[in-house]
Amino acid sequence: MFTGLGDERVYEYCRGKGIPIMLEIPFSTRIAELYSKGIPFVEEMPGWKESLKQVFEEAKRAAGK
Amino acid sequence: MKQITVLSGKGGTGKTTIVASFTVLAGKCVVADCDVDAPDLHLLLNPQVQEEDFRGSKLATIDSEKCIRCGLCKKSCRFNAISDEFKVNPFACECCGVCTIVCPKKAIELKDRISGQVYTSKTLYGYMVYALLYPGESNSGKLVSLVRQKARTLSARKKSDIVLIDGAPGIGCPVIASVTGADAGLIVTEPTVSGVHDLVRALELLAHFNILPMVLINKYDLNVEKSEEIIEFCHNMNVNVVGKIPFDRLVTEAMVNGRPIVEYAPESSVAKELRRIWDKVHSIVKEGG
Repeated sequence: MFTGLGDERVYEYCRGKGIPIMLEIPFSTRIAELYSKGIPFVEEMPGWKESLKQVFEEAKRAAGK
Repeated sequence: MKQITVLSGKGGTGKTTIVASFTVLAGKCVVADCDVDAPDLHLLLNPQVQEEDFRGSKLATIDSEKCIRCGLCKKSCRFNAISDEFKVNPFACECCGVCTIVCPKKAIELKDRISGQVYTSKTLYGYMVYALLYPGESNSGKLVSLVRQKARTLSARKKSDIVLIDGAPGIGCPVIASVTGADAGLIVTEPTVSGVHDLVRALELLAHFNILPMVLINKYDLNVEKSEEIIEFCHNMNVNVVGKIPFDRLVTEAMVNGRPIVEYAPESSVAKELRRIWDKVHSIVKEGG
């Protein structure tokens, strides 16, 4: 989920439905700029690679694969 | 009556934000949300529904009393829509009717079902037609055509001279249905590799259907270089770039509050640019004959 631009509604909805929020990525102009050039932000911004890998692993586990 | 379709190719470039603002600026107009798979213009325009209608489709239905479980229908179905228990999977059935023909006991019939809802409504700014395709249903193009037909009728009845059409992302069936016969197609793009890639495809689509193209660059300052590229590309293709809008958190803020930006922050630079762009689009379309 991308955060920092909206309000609480998505959190409330997910909480109500029991849907886990696996990762929050704060809005960043840097990410938007990288995307505009076609560069995955994980390549350029340290730290995010690990968190996204973790989400991927968790999602795989949740899906039972 | 002039029909203007707003499309983008790529999703998330700002179509709905722009259509909502144009609706406010156009005054007496009819707006049609043709993104029937994920409509959300109504969230910004708060329409009061005046009339409901639905689009029907068909579904093969097996009468288990008459069925002798011979398996001919299952074997003949190209869509694998009939299960071993001789039940029809409604999401797989394309209602081609082959099963009704091959069944030796005439146990299968094509029955009506509802695949989407269409709403005719009134907003603070004029009139609006929108629809909601039920999950898993196909044929969104036909639902789009129904929305447009209702919008045209309403526009004629209310003597409005503009029909604004909020298209779906992509260039497939529902988008084709939302541009066919329009007087102009305004492509909202953004300065990103995918934005540009999909802009080219959307331009090809408009050229194919011989619809006057216009381009608006949204969030242009996220990559000024790419924006320049788009302007030059359009210039070479003889396509009118009607304006460029800067990235502004106010736009998201207006969206979060469920209001069109020109009304939420009328003095913002985005709102000012949108007013200028609308005047330009309006005059180009009017001059079109």
